[in-house]
Amino acid sequence: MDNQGLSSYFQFKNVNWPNMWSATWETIWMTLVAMILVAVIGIALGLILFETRNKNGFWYRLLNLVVSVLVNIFRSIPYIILIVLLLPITKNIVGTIIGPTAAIPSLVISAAPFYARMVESNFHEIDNGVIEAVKSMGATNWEIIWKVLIPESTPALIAGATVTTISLISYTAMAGAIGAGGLGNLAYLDGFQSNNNSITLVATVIILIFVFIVQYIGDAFVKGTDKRGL
Amino acid sequence: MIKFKDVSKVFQLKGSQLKAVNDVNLTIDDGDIFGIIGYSGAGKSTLVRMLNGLETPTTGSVEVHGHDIAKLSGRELRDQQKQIGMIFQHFNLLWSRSIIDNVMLPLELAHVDKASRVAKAKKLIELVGLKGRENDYPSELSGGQKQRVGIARALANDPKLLISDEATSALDPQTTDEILELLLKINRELGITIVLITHEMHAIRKVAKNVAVMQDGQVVEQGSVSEIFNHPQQAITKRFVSENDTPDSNDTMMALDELVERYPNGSIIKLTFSGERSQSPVVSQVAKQRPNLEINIIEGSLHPTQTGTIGVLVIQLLGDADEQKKALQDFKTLKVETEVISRG
Repeated sequence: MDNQGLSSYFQFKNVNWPNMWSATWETIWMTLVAMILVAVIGIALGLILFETRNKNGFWYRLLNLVVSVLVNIFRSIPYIILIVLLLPITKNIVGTIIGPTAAIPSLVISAAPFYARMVESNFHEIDNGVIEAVKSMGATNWEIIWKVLIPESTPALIAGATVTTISLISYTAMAGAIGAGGLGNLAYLDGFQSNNNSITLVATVIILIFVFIVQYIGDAFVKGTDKRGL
Repeated sequence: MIKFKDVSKVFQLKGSQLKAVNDVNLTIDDGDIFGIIGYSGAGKSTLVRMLNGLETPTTGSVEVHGHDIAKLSGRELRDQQKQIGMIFQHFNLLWSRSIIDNVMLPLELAHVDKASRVAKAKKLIELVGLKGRENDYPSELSGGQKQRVGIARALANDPKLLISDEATSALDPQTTDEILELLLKINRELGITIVLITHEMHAIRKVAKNVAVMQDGQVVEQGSVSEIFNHPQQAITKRFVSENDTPDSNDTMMALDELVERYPNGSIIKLTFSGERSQSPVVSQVAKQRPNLEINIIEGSLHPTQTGTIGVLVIQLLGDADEQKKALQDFKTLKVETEVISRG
């Protein structure tokens, strides 16, 4: 097979399209499932970090310390190492270490801390006077979370989620390389290892389109929810 | 009735203590518009924030409508907070909510049903003069309009007390007057007690009936507005009073300088009239008594307050030095306060 020169990228007859579509679907599935979990866990952790910061009391401080140490650790481990590190745990949770589902725990554990820090800083950007005004109306802490913190930071939360989703897409490609399926897996096995540059190129283009769509949808939601700059 | 009794507040800072409020005793009657004036850092904000539980006193008690606010917590405190409205210098509206949703927020917190919430919010938006803007967002409003929304929001739960924390300090003079008018209207029509803190004497004079002057955490002087205005005792009060009615604008000062240069023998006098004196022909009486003296009127102003009108007149006396002194005495006999700004 001719694997030399630019023309090698354009041998589309070598592309197995059904495989390509199923790999695309796996990538989308991994990204979406992981992102939903990341959003829920990230917002919860971000809230804990926000609510326990600068508070007095032993339990507040302990909780803040534990969560921020965990967040900092998992945010710092390179993803490719994290997957390997988590293999035994993954096997326990999902029962397998290959396939798209097996990628989910490591994707969530690496991206949720990243998002949690963004969420925390988004909450800090809310004007303290607004929180205080609502507190002075007799709101409970939960009411402040649901009626002030989350609605007032929605555009920022969405923007952060968009950035996180895009890094998740690149993580899924890495996970794919070691057996999680999806476009990364296809580009690595059928593209690189089988000397088929066309497959690598097509997989790349599909990932790029996916990233652009995510960015576009994210931007549209940010714009739709931001009522500050009317 | 609101009672501050021996209230102090100490903030623990790193390695030191800050006594923000120092042994304050104040009583505010129902239906009053009570002004608290002081420069920033005087402790007035800390003091009023104790009224709705945003701060707790270190010692002493704060009684609002029969409840010792500092002793309440949890649900009881939140129930009390719902009966107190507050407006802020920077409005503190939620930008993510439309005007009507902002006004409905306190009603949501009080678990009022949706239909009543909408009806109440619409009524209040009309009261503050923003009818038709219900579905706009705060970012579409001017500062004065935002403060109107803040007022409507503060009134949502029919509070007995409205706290105004420098509510006009971020607004231009014209808008300030409009907001102050609105506060007066609310006090008159709804009978709500208003506690207004500010560093602008103008705001106090325009709406307050009683006033307390704060400095370094203490109330240094208090009384009715006209009393404090006419007979300020403390240096800081005098400063606030004079800030407001001396010819302090640059234009006036320049005009005065020119006059002093042109008539080095004249003296410039500031006369302050209060009560019925502000309506009697004092200057012409003196002019008739001293026919050799020329009186040149430079600037005059009338300041209606909630407890009577105060007039300020800046005049120049020209003529014999002895006659000038006598004229000054004449004014004093007529119970007009005089202050010599420059003597020839």
